Parts: sequence; structure tokens; C-alpha cells
Amino acid sequence: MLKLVGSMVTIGAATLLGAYAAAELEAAYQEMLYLNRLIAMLRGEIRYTRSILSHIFLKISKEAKKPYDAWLGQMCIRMESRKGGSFDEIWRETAAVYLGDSKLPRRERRKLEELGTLLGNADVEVQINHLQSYQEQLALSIQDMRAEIQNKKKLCRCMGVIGGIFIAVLLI
Amino acid sequence: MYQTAWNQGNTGEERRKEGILNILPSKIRTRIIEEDLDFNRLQEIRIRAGRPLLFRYEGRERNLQKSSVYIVTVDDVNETVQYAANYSLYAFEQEMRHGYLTIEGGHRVGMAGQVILDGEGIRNLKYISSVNIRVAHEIPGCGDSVLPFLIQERELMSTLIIAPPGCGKTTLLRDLIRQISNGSRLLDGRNVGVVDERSELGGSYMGICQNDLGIRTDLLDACPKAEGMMMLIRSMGPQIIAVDEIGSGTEVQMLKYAMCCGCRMLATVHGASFHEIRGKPMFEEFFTQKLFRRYVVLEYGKQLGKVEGIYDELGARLC
Repeated sequence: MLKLVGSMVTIGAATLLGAYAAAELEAAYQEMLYLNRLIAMLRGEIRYTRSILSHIFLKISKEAKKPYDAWLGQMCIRMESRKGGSFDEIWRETAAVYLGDSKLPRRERRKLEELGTLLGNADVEVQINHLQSYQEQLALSIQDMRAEIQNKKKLCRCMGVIGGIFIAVLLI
Repeated sequence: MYQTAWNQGNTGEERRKEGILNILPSKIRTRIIEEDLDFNRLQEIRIRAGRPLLFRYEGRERNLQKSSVYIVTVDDVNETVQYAANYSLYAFEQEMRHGYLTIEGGHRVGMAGQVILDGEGIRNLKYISSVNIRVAHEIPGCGDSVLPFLIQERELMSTLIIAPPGCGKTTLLRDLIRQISNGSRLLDGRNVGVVDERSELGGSYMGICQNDLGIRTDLLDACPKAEGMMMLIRSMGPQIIAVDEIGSGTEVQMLKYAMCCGCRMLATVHGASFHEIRGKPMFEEFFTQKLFRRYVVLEYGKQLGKVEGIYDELGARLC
């Protein structure tokens, strides 16, 4: 009886782990979609209002969800304080601090950090082009992930259950 | 009187100081703070890559006095530009084409470097090597001594203020606008339309007017003067139109048109003397048609805003 209960608990725990891994994948996918929306908002503000970046960040931060609200809010504070550092440095530093715990895949986080080198300078047209190009890359990543995510989620769940059964058999 | 008002003027000194210090790179900011300057008397800060930091104070060029000479670096220049544009140069695209941008407080940051040209003319600046921060001054009362000469039978006469750069003509014009708009014992308040192409009169920053231009003033910010005058006449029905630094043929023609529409004009122009302006072909009609009834000439020298003379339409000196 004890063995049966132990096996059931092991299988259950492994199944939950598999489900958690699948949920993480889904969260990462949703995070990329959300980031795409934020970049679209940034692009729109630059194109139509031509406001300065700190004002745009402050505006978007009020509507953004965690952790992007804190990140953009901090960007605004750092930029307004003018205490040194280029825009790129401020962007990278704050992104590393505030987006470290986000669900974004590491590769996408690195790409986002690199976007800072292209912002702030030149004219509106160039800014729009940079952001558009970034969004196109992001859209491709989202597309790839969408294609893979269903299989990966299934795989995670199956591996969880099978892994649990395997461990239970080993224990018995 | 103008000089007295200048000496006493401390309106918004802290705001002015903060606006300037905010855009300076840390190394220069520290040195300027050490100098303990009165920002009401500070006119310009010159930041040129590879050259000593200089500023214009009380009409004279000055070096740092409380610390050794500071040679400006390229990084200092770049940092100043980034701070002035708040890391958003694209947002100042139009201004950059004219070689300057206006920062909080209405101060003008002029730049020089390599010009980028396209088919339509100047597109932008790159490799910026010099920055000139011109401190905007708002000195209520600096027009007190001048205004009585510009009024006849409680009506303002069209007036042209003549002075070389940095002598205080924009400051004087700003105070005249404020007084005429609010009204005084000399005349009732008038609707004044201001075309502020370089955002110096209103000192607008992100659409918010930083200076007091009076209660009956309508401001067209960052608008080309010729088009702006036409827009004001059509839309706002001003009794008086004020523009700073007229200089092109189109502007002169539009100024004449506005005066023919019944508007009185307050304008400034770069020039060393009344006779110099009278001798310029572009302004010939001002004198032959007696378009301006008063000419206020400011003196170039140590004393900011010192009136050299006020002339009538015939060239007779009134004071």
C-alpha cells in the first residue's frame, strides 16, 4: 500500500514538473507577444508624438505590466537625472536589473539589450526603421516559437508523466 | 532703468540655474558650480572640443577663476548634446537643421559641426565640435524706461529693436510684450500675437511656455516667422504682432503685409547701429514708407541692455 502511495506521489510530482515546464514555455511565448506590443507602442509614440524618450517611457510605464513598468520608470528617472552614462549604458544596465527575472528567453533579452545602441540618435525615420527591424526579428522568433511550442508543451507533459513512472518503477 | 532691472532681476534664477546645470557634463558642471556664478548675469557658456571652457558673464568673456583652465574634451561635447536633447536627438530634428535646440527654461543650445546635406538642404549635424549655451533671461521691468517712448495717445507705435547678438534685445522684446499684453498706466492691454520661431521669447519646452508673456498673448511656438504672422492674422486677430530677429526678404515682406492689415509690429533685428540698418537695401522700405515709427538701438558693450538711443521714423533721436 505504502509503495503504491509513494509511486502515485512520485508520478504526480513528476507530472506537475512537466506541466510547470510547459507553462513556462507558454509564459515565455506570451512575454514575447507582450514585448512586441510594447515596442509597437514605443514606435507609435516616436512616430506620432515625437516626444523625447524619457517622456515616452514614463507614459508607457503607466500602462505596462510588471516588470516592464519598473524598468521603463527607472529608465525615465535615470535619463532625467543626467548623472552620466550614454543611453545605451542606461538601457543595458536597467534592462539587466529589471528584466533579469522576466519570462523572456535569454536570447530575446540579449537582443532587447542591443536595441539600446540604436535608439535616441539620428532622426525619426531612422528610429522607426530600427524599431521596425527589431519587431520583424521578434515576430520571426515568435513565429518559430509558436511552431514549436505545442510539441514542446506536449513533450514536457509526457516527459513528466513518463519520468514519474520510470522513477516509481525504479523505486519499487 | 533697464540696467537697474537687470541688476535686480532674480526671477526664476534657481530654475534658470537648474536648467543650465542639468545639461552640462559632470566635469564642467562641478567647475561651474565652484565658480559660484550669478546666473542672472551669465549670458553664454562656450564648450568647444579641445579648447578651454569659456563663458560670457556681465558682457565680458571669462575663463574659470576658481579652478585651473579646463580643456573641453569631445566626450564633454557629446555628453552636453545628449543631455540637451534628453537622449532623444530625433525629437529635435527640425531644430537641429537650424543648428540649435531649446531646452527647459527657454535657453538656446547652439551647435556647430559637420553638416549633413540632402536634396532639400541641411538635414542634420554630425561630429558636433562646439556647443554654445545661451542663457535666456526674463527680466520683468527691463522695458520700463523704453516703453514711454513707444506710445503715442495710448497706442503703441510699431517698433524695431536693433542690436548685435547678445545685447539683450530678445529680453527687452519679451518684457515689452508682457507689459503691452497686460496693460499698464500708459496703455490698455492689447492682444499680442507672438511668432516664436526659435522658442526664445516664450522659452517653450515640450509645448509649455516657460516665460511670462502676458495675459493677452497668443504664442505660435517653433513656427517660421513669415507663415506664423499670416496664421496669426487669419486666426487670432492680433492688435500687435511680435517677432524676434527678422532677417530674410520673405519675413520683411510678410511684416509689411501684417502692418498693412492694421497690426502694429514689435520686432528685433541684428545690427550695430540705426544707420547701419537704414543703409541695408532689404530694410529700405521701412524708412521710405515709414513703416516703423520707433527704432530702439541697444549698445554693444559691458552693460547688458543699455539703450544707445531711440529714434523716430525720420531718424531723429528722441533720447
